[in-house]
Amino acid sequence: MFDAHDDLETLPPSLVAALRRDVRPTVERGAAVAAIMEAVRKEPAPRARTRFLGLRPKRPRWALRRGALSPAGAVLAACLTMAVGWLGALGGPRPVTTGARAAPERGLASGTVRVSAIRDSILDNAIVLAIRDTVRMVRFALEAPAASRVALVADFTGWGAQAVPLRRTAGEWSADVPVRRGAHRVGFVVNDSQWVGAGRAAARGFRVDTLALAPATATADTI
Amino acid sequence: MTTTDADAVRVVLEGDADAFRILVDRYYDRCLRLATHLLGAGGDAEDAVQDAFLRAYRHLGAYQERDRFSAWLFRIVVNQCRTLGARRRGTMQLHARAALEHGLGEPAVEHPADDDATREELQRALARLEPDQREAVVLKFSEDLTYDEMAAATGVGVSALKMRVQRACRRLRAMLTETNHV
Repeated sequence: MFDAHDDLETLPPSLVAALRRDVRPTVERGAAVAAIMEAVRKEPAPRARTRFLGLRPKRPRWALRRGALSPAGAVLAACLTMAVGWLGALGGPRPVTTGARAAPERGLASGTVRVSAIRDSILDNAIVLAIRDTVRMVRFALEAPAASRVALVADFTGWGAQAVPLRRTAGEWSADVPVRRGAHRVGFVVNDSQWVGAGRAAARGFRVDTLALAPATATADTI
Repeated sequence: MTTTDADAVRVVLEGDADAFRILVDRYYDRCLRLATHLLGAGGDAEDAVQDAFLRAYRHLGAYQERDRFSAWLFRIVVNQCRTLGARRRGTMQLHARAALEHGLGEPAVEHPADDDATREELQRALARLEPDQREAVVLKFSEDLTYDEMAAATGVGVSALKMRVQRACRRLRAMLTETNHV
């Protein structure tokens, strides 16, 4: 009975014996082995892995286990995390590029661009987001109260192939989009027909903003 | 003098495909037992074993002599059983039905201590286990692998395997105590 075998990782000997008992194949064993060998002979010959300088690359046992993290790996991951945090802290507060500075560079009227303390930069029709993170969330916003539909198009959307629809919130259209590291060009399509480059948005009565939602290790630049 | 697994592998890699028969002969029964426990009785287990041996042959160059060949081979069998198990719907139900209809196969050698009721109840109980628990308990008790070898065979961490074995043992005891066949 089981009362005598209540250890956590043991089974009664009778069960272990039943588990270890061979099973009889439905096909005769010799025929099954012959079938395997026949299939094997049809296969190309396996080759030994080439060795570099006579050495066979060896992986530690812990690396063979999926999901397992070695102590050294855990320490390394912790150090990397701390280093990233420390480098982020070194960067200090995020510089805010205001519309007042950006607008004259693009010849825009300063009054058409919203100044926001939390917003990174103003989009241009040839904007470059120098994003140092791998992926970060960026909020793209377009102020177009009269529009019935607005979509974001960019190089990362295939310029329309996967346009991101913006949602209206009190006259402002916005969407949070994960943006990959690198420089990106963006624009908007209003009412499915009017392509609005960010640089000409002000002249057309639109206002464009971005808000980087990820931490302050990224910078945005306007060209 | 018996040819070791490593020697047989070396001969195969040198171009003698027939030397692979040594390994097939040596491990066919254990592989079939493992596959049968994991998949249930029926043709699937034998298909899984054949496919596993073919895969082992194709990738024999990846075998490292420092590992036990049996553990390396069992890993392939386990993966093959997982693939086959995932393909068919309702693996548990099929397993349970197969176990009920066919049993686990008759013992190769009758033994006076054999207890048919125990065997049948064990198969039913195994069929009712979660697949990952069944895998762990079979590798542990049927194939007598160490936890490290089980981890290598399944890709699951040792602590998770211990937990699965504990749970499987607890459930097997509970199920088999209910029926009071052992």
